[in-house]
Amino acid sequence: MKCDDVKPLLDEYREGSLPAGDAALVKEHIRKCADCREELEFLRKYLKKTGSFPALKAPDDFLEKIHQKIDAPVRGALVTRLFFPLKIKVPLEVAALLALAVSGLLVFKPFSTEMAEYKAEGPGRHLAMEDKTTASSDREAYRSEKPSAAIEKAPEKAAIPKEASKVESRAADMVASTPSYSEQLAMEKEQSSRGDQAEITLCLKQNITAGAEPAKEESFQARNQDRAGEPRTDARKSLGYAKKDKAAPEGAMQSVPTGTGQAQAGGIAALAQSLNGKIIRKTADGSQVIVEIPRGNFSRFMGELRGEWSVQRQYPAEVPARARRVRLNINIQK
Amino acid sequence: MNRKNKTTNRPEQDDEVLIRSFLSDNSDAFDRLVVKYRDMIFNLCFRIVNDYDDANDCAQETFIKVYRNIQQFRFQSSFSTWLYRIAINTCRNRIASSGNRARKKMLRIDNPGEPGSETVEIHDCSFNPDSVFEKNEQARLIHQAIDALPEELKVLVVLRDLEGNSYEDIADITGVNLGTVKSRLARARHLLRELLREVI
Repeated sequence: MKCDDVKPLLDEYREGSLPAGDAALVKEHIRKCADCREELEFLRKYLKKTGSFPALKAPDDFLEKIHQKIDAPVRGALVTRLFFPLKIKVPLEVAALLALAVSGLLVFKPFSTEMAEYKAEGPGRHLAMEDKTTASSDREAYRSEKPSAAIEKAPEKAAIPKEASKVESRAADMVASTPSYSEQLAMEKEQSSRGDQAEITLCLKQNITAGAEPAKEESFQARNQDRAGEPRTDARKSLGYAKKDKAAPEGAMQSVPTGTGQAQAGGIAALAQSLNGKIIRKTADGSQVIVEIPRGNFSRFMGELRGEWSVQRQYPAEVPARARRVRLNINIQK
Repeated sequence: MNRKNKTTNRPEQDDEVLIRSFLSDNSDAFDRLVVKYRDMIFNLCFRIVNDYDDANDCAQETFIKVYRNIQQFRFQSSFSTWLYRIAINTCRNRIASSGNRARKKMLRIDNPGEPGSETVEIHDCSFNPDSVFEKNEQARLIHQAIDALPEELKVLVVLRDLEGNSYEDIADITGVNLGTVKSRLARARHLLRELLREVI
């Protein structure tokens, strides 16, 4: 046996409580090892001394004090329970809060796109994806009110006879001079454009037939683009049709890719990026995408876009003169 | 040695009866438990925290914890083991508290002339450990040596060498396995032998 094995057994050896086999081994070791012999001797003297230590008595009012403390209202119990001992609970609580914050972030971040999509849901809500939700909701309210007002005005107009009084004709002139709904919306739109930025809404529909002759307007514009020497291939690559372009004869319209709406929207976004633009927002299903491009690249962007898409609606039709950047709210029709 | 007589005069069944009685809203049963174990717990606390007032506070806190948490006692171990466990944890918390450390610093007047000693201010304590051993210098030095041990070793030495618990009980009270208890005690005694070379 080694000293390290023997020393833990010395107390039991001294007491005589060690099993006979172990006791014999310890005895043999002690006979040879002076250090363990000294340790055993120390243990005997030391334990004899500790045995004579005086035992204290608890104070006489011990029980009364306990009763007092039990009956006393517990002060700051909640604080004590929450924060004490400080060394243990505070770091734990901080760690728990951090973990909660991180997990909350991880849980809610993936839904941000869907939330944006939710905002934009509903007929004619393509503008609702704007950051200025208040402004857009105001516009919505205006839109919903205006047609009904127009309907109300129509019978009034019809009811006015030709020989109406001057006052009535003046009123009619006023009605006539009042800007139409679309004009007002255009004005409002222009006003809402932030300084050097214009905002344009597009409704796109993908060309379904892969014809040799595209729609008149498209083919005209596409040809113009080609003649102007615009490198269509780059943009088409960015639209994700690069492979098909290689196989197809140059200049011919390609068949509609069977990609998902998301991929199509991604192609538009990539086109914007290739023209120094940036993606503002893109819905998960690819039905809507907002991009921002420099005004100088707007016509090029539209040209590239018309190669594959037919523009169902563009509003306003022209980009305001002072705008330097154009934000495009693009709605893709299935 | 003040060998521990956990249930010296009363069998453990008495504890169980008292606890069950206390659980059925008999507050006298709690008082009887306090009276039965107060000296034992007070001594244990005093030997661990080495201060009369702190020991008194710790012992009282131990019984208050028992009062508030008695329903958590499952009768799987003896009541005294459970009580010891609470008392030791209470003392450990007390030692760990910064207030206690500051007070201990003030009490370090063993060698007032020693260079670097920061203070000789005496804590206003009605009862200090030295007064317990005033007639026995050797016992006082042994007590000081035990107090100088690291806390985990000191608790074991107090439980075994001063309180006289069995190794199995110590393992149960501290939650440390039996072999570790024995080896740690051997280490503690070796350290004490070094500290008390001139005394014993």
